[in-house]
Amino acid sequence: MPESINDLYAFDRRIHEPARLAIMAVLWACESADFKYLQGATGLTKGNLSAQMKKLEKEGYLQITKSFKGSYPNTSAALTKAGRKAFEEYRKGYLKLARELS
Amino acid sequence: MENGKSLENLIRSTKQYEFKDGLREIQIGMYLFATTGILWLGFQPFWLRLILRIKEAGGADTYWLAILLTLVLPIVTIAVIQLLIRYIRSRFLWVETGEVKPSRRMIPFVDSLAAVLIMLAAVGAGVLLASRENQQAEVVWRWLWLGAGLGTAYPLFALGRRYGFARMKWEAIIGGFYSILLLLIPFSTFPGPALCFGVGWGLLLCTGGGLALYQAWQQKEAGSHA
Repeated sequence: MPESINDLYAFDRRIHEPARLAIMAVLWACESADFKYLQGATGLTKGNLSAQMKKLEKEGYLQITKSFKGSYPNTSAALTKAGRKAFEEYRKGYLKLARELS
Repeated sequence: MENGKSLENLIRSTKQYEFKDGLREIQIGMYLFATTGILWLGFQPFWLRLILRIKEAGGADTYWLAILLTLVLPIVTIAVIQLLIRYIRSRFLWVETGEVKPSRRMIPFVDSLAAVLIMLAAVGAGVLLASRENQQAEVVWRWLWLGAGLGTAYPLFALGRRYGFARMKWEAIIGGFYSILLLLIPFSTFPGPALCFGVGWGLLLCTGGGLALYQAWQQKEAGSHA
């Protein structure tokens, strides 16, 4: 089996799903982002975004904060230390794979 | 690897978000105006007379308080503009698109280190020249402003290249040349180059940032009418 195919097994399956990967990528690039930004950046529906965020929170990769902005509820999310590390490893892996395949 | 490419675009666009509206450049420009204003005041006879009058009227404590307030003013300016930026973004610019708290390390350590090294190299060159040619300390000061200019231009250019902002690269190039020009102009007074540095760079950053803000506002208007 070629080495690049073997590398695929090393990818964190909890992040690998496209919607979750997009959420992780956005949050990795900043300190935190609110629900509206995440929705606009990833193009996910409210329901899907909310479900994927909950899954990532359950895995310990995401911290969700609920607050009020004036009288409106505001949800924001940030990567935990584990989440940041997991995404960095994932990114390193796919960039390596991209180089090998090109 | 198309998926990887779009993921990198997602990372890049999130990092760009903080600088897209030009408010950060305006903030730095305003800070430069404030510090330059303080420096200008420090060399004005009326200001020195006022400080002395404060000392006579209120004693040494009041005198030190006045000096401290003068030094604190640029920091207050930064804080006020920071609040203003937050207000403008949350009430106007980011209402439709959402809010992002930027990463603490937007400028990589290597770029910051390079900026400091450029500054130190310029000051070092100034000290060397002043000692060799037996010139006044003014030469060192003028080289310091060149160092400050190039030390500002370098991370600005790096930021523009990293996040794909052509305007930042232009600001850095113009600012860099302007800083070199300041070195060549023979100023008769000590604060001359410092004032020109602050006002020139401040205008440059506020203009660049202002244009970006105008564009961001137009985009926001177009988006809300769509």
